[in-house]
Amino acid sequence: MSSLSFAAKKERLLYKEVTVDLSPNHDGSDTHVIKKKRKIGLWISLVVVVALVVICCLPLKDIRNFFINWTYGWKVLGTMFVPNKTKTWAGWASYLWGVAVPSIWSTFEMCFLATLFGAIISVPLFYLSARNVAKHGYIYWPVRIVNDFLRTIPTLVLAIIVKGIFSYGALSGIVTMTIFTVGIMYKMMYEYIETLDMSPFEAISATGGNTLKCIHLGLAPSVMPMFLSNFLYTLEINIRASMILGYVGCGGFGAILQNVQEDGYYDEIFALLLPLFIVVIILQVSSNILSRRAK
Amino acid sequence: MSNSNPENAKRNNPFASAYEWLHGPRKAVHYLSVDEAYFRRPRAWVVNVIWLVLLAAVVIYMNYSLDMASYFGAVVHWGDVADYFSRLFNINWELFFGYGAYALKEGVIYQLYETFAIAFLATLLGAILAIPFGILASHSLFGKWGGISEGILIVIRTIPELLLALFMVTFSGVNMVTGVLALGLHSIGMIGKLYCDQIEQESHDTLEALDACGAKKWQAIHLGIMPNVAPNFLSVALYRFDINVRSATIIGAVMGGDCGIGFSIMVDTGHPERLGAEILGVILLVVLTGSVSSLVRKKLV
Amino acid sequence: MIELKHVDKTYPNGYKALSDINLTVKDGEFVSIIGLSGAGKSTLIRCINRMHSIQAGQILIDGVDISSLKGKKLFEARRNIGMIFQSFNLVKRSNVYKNVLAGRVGYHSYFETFFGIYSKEEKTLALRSMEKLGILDKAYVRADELSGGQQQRVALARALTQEPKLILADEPVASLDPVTTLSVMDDFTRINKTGITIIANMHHVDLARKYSTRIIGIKAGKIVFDGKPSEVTDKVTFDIYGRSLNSNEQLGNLDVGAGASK
Repeated sequence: MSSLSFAAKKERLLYKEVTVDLSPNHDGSDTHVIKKKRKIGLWISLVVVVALVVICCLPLKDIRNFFINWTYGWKVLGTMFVPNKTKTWAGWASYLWGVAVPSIWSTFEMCFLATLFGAIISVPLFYLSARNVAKHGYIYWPVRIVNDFLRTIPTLVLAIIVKGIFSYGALSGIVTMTIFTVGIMYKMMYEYIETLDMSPFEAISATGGNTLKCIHLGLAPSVMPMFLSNFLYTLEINIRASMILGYVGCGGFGAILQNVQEDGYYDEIFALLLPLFIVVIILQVSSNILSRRAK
Repeated sequence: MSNSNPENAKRNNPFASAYEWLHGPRKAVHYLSVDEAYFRRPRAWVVNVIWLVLLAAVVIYMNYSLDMASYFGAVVHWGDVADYFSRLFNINWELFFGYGAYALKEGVIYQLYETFAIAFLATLLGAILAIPFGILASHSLFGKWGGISEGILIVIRTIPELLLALFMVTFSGVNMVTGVLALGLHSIGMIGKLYCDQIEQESHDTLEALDACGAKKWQAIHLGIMPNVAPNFLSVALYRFDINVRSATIIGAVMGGDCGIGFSIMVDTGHPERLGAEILGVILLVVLTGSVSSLVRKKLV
Repeated sequence: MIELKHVDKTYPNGYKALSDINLTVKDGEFVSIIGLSGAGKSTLIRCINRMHSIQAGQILIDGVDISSLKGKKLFEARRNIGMIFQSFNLVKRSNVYKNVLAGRVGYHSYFETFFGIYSKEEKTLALRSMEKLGILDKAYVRADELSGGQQQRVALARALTQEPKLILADEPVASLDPVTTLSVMDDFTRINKTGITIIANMHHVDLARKYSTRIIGIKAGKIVFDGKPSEVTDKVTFDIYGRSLNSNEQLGNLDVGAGASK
């Protein structure tokens, strides 16, 4: 065994030889030997996954709690639909109109503004970092590195840092979401641009346009629908993120939710959640429709 | 002739004629002269100006109602900011590793391990359970009936995972299981949609071929589509795993207690040293899992 | 008048595409370049436009060395040269009108092209170019809803809107079916008769012989033939292609409607 070279040993490990009998009478007169690849990668990854599952199940201690509290949980959820703190349906409705809807609306405004600013800021960035537009490495590398760094920081961390600087309510939320938006939009858009057909760009450059004109006339008509669809997608992500930001202390909706959560009156929570649901569903459906039309 | 011509019927209707003045005739029209073609051109700039004015109006209204003007006059106390940041970077290593004044289970490293476990199990749960949902939701396989499963997936996806986690707290208290179940349920929705997209992208030709040789629906799916999309499914699951790690840190932070990074204490009382340790831990976790995940995804495709 | 003097081009990976090209094209000629794929036809055409840069030699267009121009002067030079591509290179989502107007970008600043501010004369010029090529009916239709021949005509209209002195064409009819090929080549001839020089890459030798006034053969980056179409004998094409012509290089059936005589 040790007389085999390393390459030969590797060959034996990765492939096995299979004898195939192709003779018409199965009498072994026409056999071929074929090399079949062993699925080593598959086995290795299976072992890794099982090991990871075992490791991750170790800290799970309280599965029994889940089954004990099952019915209690459903009962508590049932109280969502019964006016409790607000005493009557009318009271619930006025809570809905008076508190829930304005806070959702102001949250939506925050998210919309932040996504808009973020999207506008990201336009030059993603053109600069697409490899077919910015052909030299020194243009797109720094942009990518900075943006990747910004994207990696989780939203919560970013929010805390920004709040440390600004320490005001809505402004820090908007700034956080703007930075977050730039990271998301820029990555999705530059990946799309790299798959685009560059032929109109070439044609306009042959007509005598500089790079800016080529981009605007050649690429922008194809980029626009994708941009809008990504904008809606990012808006939806930002609405979810604003809930989290509210817990940190900047932003309207999340803060109210936190207060109510501590009280534990589920009917108020339901009143708060209903407009949120509607907004998110509307956004999802419209982003679906737009992406179908863009294809 | 001029009355039965659909062109003229359109011109008599004011909305249609206004639309045509703005956007031009969208299909091929025989123009009698170059001047007529010039007259009927789309006025693109008017359309753009209208959209811009609308957008500006919306932005100004939103700024007014959020009272943004007051924020721009605010003074940022740079001295305080610098002090805060220097305390932030002064990381409390004991908290980080979990020795000394802090038990191992309170250390950031152990919390990261728990967070990772939540994310991993939730992604596993979501990836496996989303397979039937995703297949059932694809329109190319099931036509209109796909809409049922798609609707279910949309409803699941609409609920932000944080809320789902907070709800599940009433079921199973504040611990890891809640996190896994909530995140897993949410992942089913997200991964299911991505699976459905992958199936719709790849399936038409294969399905046609298998249909032609007489395969039943389930055979076609099992033999024709699954081998093709299996690496894509894995790639989707890894992508979602990356995102779930971030969500898991947030869920852990918000729920507090025995479930991953205990940001919640830190956020409210504002001790930057301990916060620094936790932020470092979170950043490390996210960066590591992100890079491993994108490496493996590149190998898959 | 276009002159190429001792032009060399080497690609970054070391492949020498053109060696010592010397060529003079007078105004009003219709020049066809023939040769094997990869012999350097596309490279030559794109060097005239400065879409590829040359390593040695000069390319003079009306006395101005285009290979030494930089920045704004290069764009001003390019707007006098129209280019037609094999895959039409249109902006698919825009309508024909916008595509044709894009020919005038060399004459405006970025600000004006961003807002679409072109003068009335330019817009009328664009429409008139479309009318000359017979596509005025489709003026505001989306570009990808047209057939291949119509799209190439849109590209031609775009080139015409530039009011160029020279039109370069890189295999303009290679993607078209035979009947459309003949009508597009007729359009080229009409344009040439108005005084615009045309230098075209031709894949089909018989098309080149029928429509052009001068033929240049390129083999391995060097010019091996330069003369009138009637001088292109079988021996000449054997030299250029290294073999006798097969069906790839012959369109055949050039007299459509007049019987199928070769």
